[in-house]
Amino acid sequence: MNAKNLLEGVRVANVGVELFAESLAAQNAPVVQVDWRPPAGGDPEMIERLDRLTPCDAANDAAIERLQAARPVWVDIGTAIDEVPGMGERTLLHAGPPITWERMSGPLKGAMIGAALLEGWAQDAEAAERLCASGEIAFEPCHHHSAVGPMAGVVSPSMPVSIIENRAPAELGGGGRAYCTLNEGLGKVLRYGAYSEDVLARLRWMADELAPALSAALRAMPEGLDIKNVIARALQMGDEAHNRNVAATSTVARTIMPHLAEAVSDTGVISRVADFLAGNDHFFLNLAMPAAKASLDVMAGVEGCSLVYAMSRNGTDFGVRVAGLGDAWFTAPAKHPVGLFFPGHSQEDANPDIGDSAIMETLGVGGFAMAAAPAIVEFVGGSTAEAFQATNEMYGITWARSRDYTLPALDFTGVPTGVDVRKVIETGIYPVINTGIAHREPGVGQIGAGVLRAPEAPFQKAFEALVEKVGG
Amino acid sequence: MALAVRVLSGAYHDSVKLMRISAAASEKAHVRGAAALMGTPMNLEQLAASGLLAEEAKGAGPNDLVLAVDAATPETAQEELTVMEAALTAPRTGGGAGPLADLSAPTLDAALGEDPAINLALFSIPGPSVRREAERALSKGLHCLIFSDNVSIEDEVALKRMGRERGLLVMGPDCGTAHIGGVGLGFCNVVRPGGIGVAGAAGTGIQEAMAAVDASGGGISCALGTGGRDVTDAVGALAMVQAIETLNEDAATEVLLVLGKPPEPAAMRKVLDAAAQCGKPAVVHFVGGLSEDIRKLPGLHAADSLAEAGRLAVSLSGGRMDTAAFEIDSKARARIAEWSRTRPKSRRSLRGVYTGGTLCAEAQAIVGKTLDGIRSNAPLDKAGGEMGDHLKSQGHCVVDMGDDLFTRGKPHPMIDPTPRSTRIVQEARDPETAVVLFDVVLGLGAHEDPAGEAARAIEESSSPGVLFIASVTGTGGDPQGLKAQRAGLAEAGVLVADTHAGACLSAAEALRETLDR
Repeated sequence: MNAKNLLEGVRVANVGVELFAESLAAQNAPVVQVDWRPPAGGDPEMIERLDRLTPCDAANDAAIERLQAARPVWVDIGTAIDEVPGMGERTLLHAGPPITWERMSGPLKGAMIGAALLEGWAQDAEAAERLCASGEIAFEPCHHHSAVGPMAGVVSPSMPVSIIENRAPAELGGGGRAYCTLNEGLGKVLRYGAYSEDVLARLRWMADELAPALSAALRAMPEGLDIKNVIARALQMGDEAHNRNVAATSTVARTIMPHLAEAVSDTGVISRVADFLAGNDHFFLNLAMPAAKASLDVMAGVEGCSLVYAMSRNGTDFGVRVAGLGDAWFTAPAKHPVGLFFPGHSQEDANPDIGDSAIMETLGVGGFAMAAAPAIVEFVGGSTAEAFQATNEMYGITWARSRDYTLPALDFTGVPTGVDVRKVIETGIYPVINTGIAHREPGVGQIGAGVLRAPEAPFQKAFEALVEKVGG
Repeated sequence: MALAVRVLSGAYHDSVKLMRISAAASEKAHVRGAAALMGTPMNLEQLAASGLLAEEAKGAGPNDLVLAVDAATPETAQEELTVMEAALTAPRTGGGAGPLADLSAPTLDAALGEDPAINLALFSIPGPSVRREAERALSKGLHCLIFSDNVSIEDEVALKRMGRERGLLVMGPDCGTAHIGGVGLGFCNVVRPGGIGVAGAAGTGIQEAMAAVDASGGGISCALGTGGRDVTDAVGALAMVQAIETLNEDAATEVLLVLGKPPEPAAMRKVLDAAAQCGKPAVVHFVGGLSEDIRKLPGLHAADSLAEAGRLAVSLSGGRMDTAAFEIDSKARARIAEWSRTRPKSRRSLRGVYTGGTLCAEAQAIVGKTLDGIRSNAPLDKAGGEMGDHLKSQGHCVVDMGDDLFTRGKPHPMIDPTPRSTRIVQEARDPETAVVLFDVVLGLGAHEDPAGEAARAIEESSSPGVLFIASVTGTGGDPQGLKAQRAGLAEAGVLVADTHAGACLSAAEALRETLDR
């Protein structure tokens, strides 16, 4: 009999009629109201399938341990052709699941054209477009090369890439690396499909001056720069690490600056690098994303695991990868984000959802950590209550609460982490994703930012595959 | 003194939180000093200055969390480090009242994430969905209270077996009342703490007995419900036996009070055996059942009514029993005699209109000793006692308005007494009706003014020839106020008895007059 703890005092989960919870609260008894809905919409066949997937529980426990233990550190900056595994001479990486040139949306095409120009493969945009359409360029997802990229996510061979290493113990999957380009800033930028001369000039400066300077600074930091630590601290300072990165970027700048000054003698370079960091609130996003990827990839391949290790969009399709289902992508058409637009732009101009940056929500921050970021609650309706609700709802579809990424406004409870495909199907709650919004035409760039729900079909397809593999 | 440290690599924690953890450890008597801080050079200096910098911590970097304790022995130092490490991730729940308290958790799992110390899941969801959810709750180590009805008997047995294997209580399905750890669950009265532990297969039966305990100065240690179907042979009193065992092991419980409608034979044996074996005095009362079998067993005491059972339990735990409560006092007798003189001779029938199922059963049991042919939609005597049409009474009828027949898709009449009021009017206006007998149940979960609702119905019926008799099941601590509710009924001309048994005896007395003629 272990009823003793019960008789000493009840702590209740009230599943159903709220009246009972109110009565308990009136007696000062601790009670949590559960907003119960029929599982899988009450479909008995789906419930039966859900119940066949109980073996996933143990696998998820094992996988989440690896995710929790991950310790992504920014160790250096290199060149894509040298560092990114499998990067070919004539390869362009892009965000999201695989896609052919014909099916690419405007901003993704624009980014590819820009990258071809940057690499000097073509003299003008028309020639670059012809080249891209010719089949001579290999278009491959960043995710197939241990990389991630925001928006178009384009990585070309000569681009500088940050190297993020997971410094967890080897038995918990440590040692893996992930790569990402350096963030160009806001406005007209390549990742939104802009490729005018000023965009390309900035990219050249980043490769020629910014990357070597930051690399020198990083080499002066024997432990590297701990990105997990920065994300954790930024959540205490009002960032959600996807649409708001000002605290994290400031923290990185503050941390790296003494080493930069030590490693670089040219004060002109130091000044320009410092100025660039000061003028780009989203610099950190391109560090947070590979940190998230390096953290999540350790779950990939855990047998029977139903947790998602990548959510990503290429501007046409939305794709999901599940730890227990290997490399497979489960896709469906990407949706349009609903958001706030820069002057002169509106919802009609918006491209479908694009970018690998949903890796942040996969980790449990971004839209999942809205409760951390009262400054940007306009994206979810304008009130902190709605921000809390967004985070609260995500606890319904995740396997754990993060040990290290915590929410001060919620009494330092951990962010919801480890999206469980089964829970998504059971609750009908789909991941909430914060995002920038690209113009549908190439060459225009970012026109706003907003929020959306992941589409349902990729999760439904992944669920069916999981039932076949694990519940058979 | 023994110094111990733990270095957690790459863990970031807010410094205020770390100060709180340091402070909590330092306050302990066996701890000389304790610290939780990030391994910055300045912090390491501080550690050294306070004599807490052990060798292992000297290599810590700014991204490493250092926990250090200087305690009486190496063992206690290590223990304290473990406590500190656990505190890093422990959610700060001050009674579930965090910022998410206003928001519903999307799932039971999420609720457990919010408050990992939850120990009871209360279900009021559609019956067919209960088993899956309750199995999950049990697998997470939660006791269950299932308010839902319409749960299949297979599901009930499966859940109760699973609970039994894991040492977890499964109260219900169809369990409307419990009182645990000083907290009322579902429909429950506000009672003082005390030594009487209740195991009941009867919701309003538990309430009536608890109210009687309270009225005679006793208190409740805990009241566990089982759901009425538990004492059928198909379920085999699984929850009842477990509840009795739980109360037996509960140090606060001195006397057991076992209640229900009469169990089926095999279940009856199990219940009586469990009660007899428990070694604590036990009052056992089955509404409408026989007392002889109970009295035969050593340590078991029987009663003639729910209220008597409650008062008997108080007297067994050292209180005094007020037997007058079970008799009709002279004032009531005078009132009945006066009514009888002026009663139109055509009015010969008893009409009971109940919100409480067990009270409805007790009315049939007690009045049935005097009056033959009582019918009900919930007949105590299943052979021949069924009403032809539950919407229209003929002859002596006692109606349970809480029956599924009346409540499908509607709130229970204890929550919304409107259908019961309508029925009171209907019965009172029937020229055959001599006595309208009804219950008023107070407590948590019940309507805010049930007596007022009944009084309005009586006024609306304007039937001066009818004698209205009622009892109020409640305590002075109930939100509705026992005295005020009784006074409200008395003002409306109702003959108000101290206990439900008393009300039934008065009704029987009044109707005896009709038999004599």
